Amino acid sequence: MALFTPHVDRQLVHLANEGVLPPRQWSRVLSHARGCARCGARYERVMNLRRMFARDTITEPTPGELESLESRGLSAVLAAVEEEASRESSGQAARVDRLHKEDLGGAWSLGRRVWAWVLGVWNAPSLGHVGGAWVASLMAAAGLLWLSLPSDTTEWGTRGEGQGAATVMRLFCVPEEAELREVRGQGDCPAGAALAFAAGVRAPYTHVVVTVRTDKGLRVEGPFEVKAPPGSEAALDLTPKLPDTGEVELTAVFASSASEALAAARGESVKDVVRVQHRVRIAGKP
Amino acid sequence: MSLLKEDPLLLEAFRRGEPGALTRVYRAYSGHVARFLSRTYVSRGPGGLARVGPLDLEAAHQETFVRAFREQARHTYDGVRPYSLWLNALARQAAVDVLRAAGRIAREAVALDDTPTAERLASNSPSPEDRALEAETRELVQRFLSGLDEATRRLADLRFVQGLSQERAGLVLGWSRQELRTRETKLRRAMTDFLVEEGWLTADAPDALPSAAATAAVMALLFPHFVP
Repeated sequence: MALFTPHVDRQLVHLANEGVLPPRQWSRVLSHARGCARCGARYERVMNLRRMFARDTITEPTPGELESLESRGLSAVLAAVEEEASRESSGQAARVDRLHKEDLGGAWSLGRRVWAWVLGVWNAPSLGHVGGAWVASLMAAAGLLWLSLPSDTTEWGTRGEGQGAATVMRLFCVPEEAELREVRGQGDCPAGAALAFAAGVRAPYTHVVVTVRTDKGLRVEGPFEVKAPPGSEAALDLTPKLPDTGEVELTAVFASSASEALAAARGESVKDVVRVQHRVRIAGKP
Repeated sequence: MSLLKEDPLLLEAFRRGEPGALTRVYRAYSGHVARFLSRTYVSRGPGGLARVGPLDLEAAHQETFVRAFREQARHTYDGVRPYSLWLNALARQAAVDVLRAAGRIAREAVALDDTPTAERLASNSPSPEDRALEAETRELVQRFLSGLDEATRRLADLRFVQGLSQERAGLVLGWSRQELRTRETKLRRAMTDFLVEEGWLTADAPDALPSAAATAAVMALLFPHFVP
């Protein structure tokens, strides 16, 4: 029996009733639903129902959808444009289209489906039936938490309960047909699986950028704003899919602003950043 | 409306990629792109005509603006034609790519832009699939509403259909805030029950709760002194 449901039924009930969700929750529901056939179909039906209520047709978005797109999409678009511009200006040959994230084996859709498992754990509104203390206790008992290391350190390490560390990054392997598990040390993850991340920071750190290097090239993901403290790490909206073979090198750069994190991830000299690296081997059975 | 056509300074700032200008353009055309994507068939394949559904709307919407705001695209727009038409062309292609990437249409599906004009024009009316889906959804809504008493149906109309706030709905109906809240709670519960009965939703996913045994085991592990 799974301890936590990977699906978003509660949020869909809320969506059916309210027509909208809080922005972050809506993003997470969409992320999950786009990779989950079961929840994807239900999401479509619920939104079609709301469209029918609001517009008397299923081919017109509701006012809630329009408002949400306008408010949520802008920062993502501007960040993507800035990222592309910087990539082009820095002359990196491997210019990767955003959509290739999905083409890279449908990483978004696959990973996000299972990633909701993690989101469910950290998503406070959905924890009503489980209890935040329950989750915190479980995490402490299992010794799952990781400490990030200083900038001259090249490996992610295991942390205690987050005390003392200014930045924390946890890495998860999300196989297609198996339970999500945390990757520690020089961990393995099977081909076709996705990776998932959770981060926590203390002041002055506020943002993280993750670079994912595979044989196919380098992708810069983020910057992601991190509001959660160490010990209550929050999920990043990032689930890259692993290639079939080889190794993936991950670098997380924490900084006190989005631009500094991005600049440091691009290799520019920025003071007071925390850089952590990890390698994941593609091996093992799914 | 053609924001960029009418404001040369904004057009210049837009071409330079200034965030303020991009933000203004995004806000001005966000709704247009969302509506265009939702109602326009963008490809034809073995499965018939395809358009962007609610699930892929955000991805296609963002992809459209990312493409529109690329340096090359910003400079290619001539500032003469309506920008909305320019966005439509980008939106069509972005939608096809998003639908392909998500596996909703086959890789070999043809973008409607690449088909003869006559065929494109013939595709403007709703597809048989959409007509059936719309009829099914409309019937569901009607059945739900017809099962409500008159006052609750009026509340559903004000809140779900017209989108009024609770305060305004209360004024229209002559109910106190508390009365409206109570009735709305019942209305929402009725809708959830109805959708669950119809098989559209599941109130709670299976395995949502840890079992008592699992909870006890973890508690014993964590707090051994408190376990007898």
